[in-house]
Amino acid sequence: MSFARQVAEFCRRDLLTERRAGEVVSIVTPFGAVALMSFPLAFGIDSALLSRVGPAVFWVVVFLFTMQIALRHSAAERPQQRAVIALLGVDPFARLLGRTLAAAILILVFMAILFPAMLLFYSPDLPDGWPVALIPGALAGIGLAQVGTLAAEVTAGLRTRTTLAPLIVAPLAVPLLLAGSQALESLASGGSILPWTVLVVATDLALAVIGAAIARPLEEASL
Amino acid sequence: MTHRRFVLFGAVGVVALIVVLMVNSLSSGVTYYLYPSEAVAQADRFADAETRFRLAGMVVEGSITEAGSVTSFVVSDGAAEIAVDLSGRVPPLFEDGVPVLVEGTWDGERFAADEAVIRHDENYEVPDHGGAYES
Amino acid sequence: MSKPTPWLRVLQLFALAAVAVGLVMALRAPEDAFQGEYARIMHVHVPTSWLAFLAFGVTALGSVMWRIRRTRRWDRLAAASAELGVVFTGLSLATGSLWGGAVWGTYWDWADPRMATTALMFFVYLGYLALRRTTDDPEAAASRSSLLGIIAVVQVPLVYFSVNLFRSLHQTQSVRPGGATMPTEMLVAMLVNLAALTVLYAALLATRMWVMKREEEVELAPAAGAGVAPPRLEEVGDA
Repeated sequence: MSFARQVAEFCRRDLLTERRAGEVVSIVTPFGAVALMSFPLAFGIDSALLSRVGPAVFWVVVFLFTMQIALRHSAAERPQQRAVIALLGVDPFARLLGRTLAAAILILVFMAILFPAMLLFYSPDLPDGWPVALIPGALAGIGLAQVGTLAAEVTAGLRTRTTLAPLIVAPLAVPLLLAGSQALESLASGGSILPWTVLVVATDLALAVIGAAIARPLEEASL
Repeated sequence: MTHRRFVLFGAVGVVALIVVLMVNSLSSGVTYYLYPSEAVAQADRFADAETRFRLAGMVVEGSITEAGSVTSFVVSDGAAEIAVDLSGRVPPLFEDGVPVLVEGTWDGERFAADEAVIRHDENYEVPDHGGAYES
Repeated sequence: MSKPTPWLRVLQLFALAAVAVGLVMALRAPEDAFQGEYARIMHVHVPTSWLAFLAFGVTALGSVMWRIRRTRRWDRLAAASAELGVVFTGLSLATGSLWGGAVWGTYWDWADPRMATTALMFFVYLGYLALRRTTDDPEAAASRSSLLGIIAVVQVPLVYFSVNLFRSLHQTQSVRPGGATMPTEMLVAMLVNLAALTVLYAALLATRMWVMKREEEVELAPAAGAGVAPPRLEEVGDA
């Protein structure tokens, strides 16, 4: 089976699981929307403040909830399944890439639902030409999928997985969140989104390289 | 199948992108603070009294005046000077000639700051008179 | 119970003496014209920061060597050095924050690239130590953590050069190729402290590695004595 085919199969499998369980659509997304709504309630009536913090709150919510998406899916795999896949000679990087792809699709769906909700609840002052900031935003979403899948793979099978994963995720996600939120900010103050787009592309690529480099030793370590 | 080639070219690509980023970010507006001459040149970007930025420069000798809780002084980078009204806490070592970093917004031609810190540089010096430091 | 080798004892005593000398030097060094006595914090802050960088470099070295040689020694080196690196980073953050509170007028600033990247490095290596503790099997711990030990070191140059690459509140390096921007007496006192804390690092590293070895011996002892392979504590799923 070719490499691309393997990647596609893993991606399809994860998306099928999601279609049957419906976890992202029916549990994570509604809770994400509730989290977005609870901020204005906590702040009280201050529309000027809300319109300023809207995009930032959006990124905090996206970060926290998308990590649940990425970590959950990789955790669903049992050690026995992993062993069978490894014994079949499946390229471990193909497995990592397939899972990342599936997580990225789910995360982008999540963001696509929450972004209009944020616009509705916070009515932020978006600068002219704001849709271009969606590019670094979407790329940051893909990066978050990479971070989450990578963290899930590193901690796979460990009992303390749930406490360990956040410690690994937090530092890796910083450049992504920074780029995602600052792109809009930069646009608003007359700057360009280019530096932030380059930063997010560099981070995505670096994460892919790390994944390719450690996929095999990681598989050996976690069997 | 190992992905040696992808790892190699990918790593080179990451380094190249970071270099591009460094070169680019130095010339674009993504900075921690502005010097007075830059702040004057980019005044339009921060024109409305809601956009906060940070301003770094030397406190001009003899420019410090206090009126109630507001400390006023002038910061300079040698090329431009901006009058600052600081309504927040004054840093403990604040005095004439020190490098400062103030945070706030434009208030017409003046800069209304509510935060200020001393920005010490990398130089250390022995006191001239060799005695205790006087503040 | 085995005792430490005489060499380890000598190293420990030497480290104590060196730190005492360093302390005296720091207190006798001249004060700064602008900062006054606060400048003395530098004699601890700068060496601890450098040693944190060194310690994480040694962790990366130990991790690489473990992947090549697969001997326990290299893994113990990586683990012990990471622990010390976290301690030194913590000391660097604490002393830096105190100095900042006194001289800058603020204890912390998240927007400053040096402070933010250092805090990030601190948390990454806390994660490294947490990763090591997740399993009782030293081989399993080594195979995972060696990967993180190699990847995480990438951020060390980023922390060091953050003050040159970005505009920051934190000053740039005072000691650099081509000379130092401080009086000789001050520089000497700081370099003596650097040497003293390096000896302390070496002594603590050797001691920690010795303790780790003893720990592993104790854990494996009964099984080895009986000559029977013990039931290994494999991961029991993650229920």
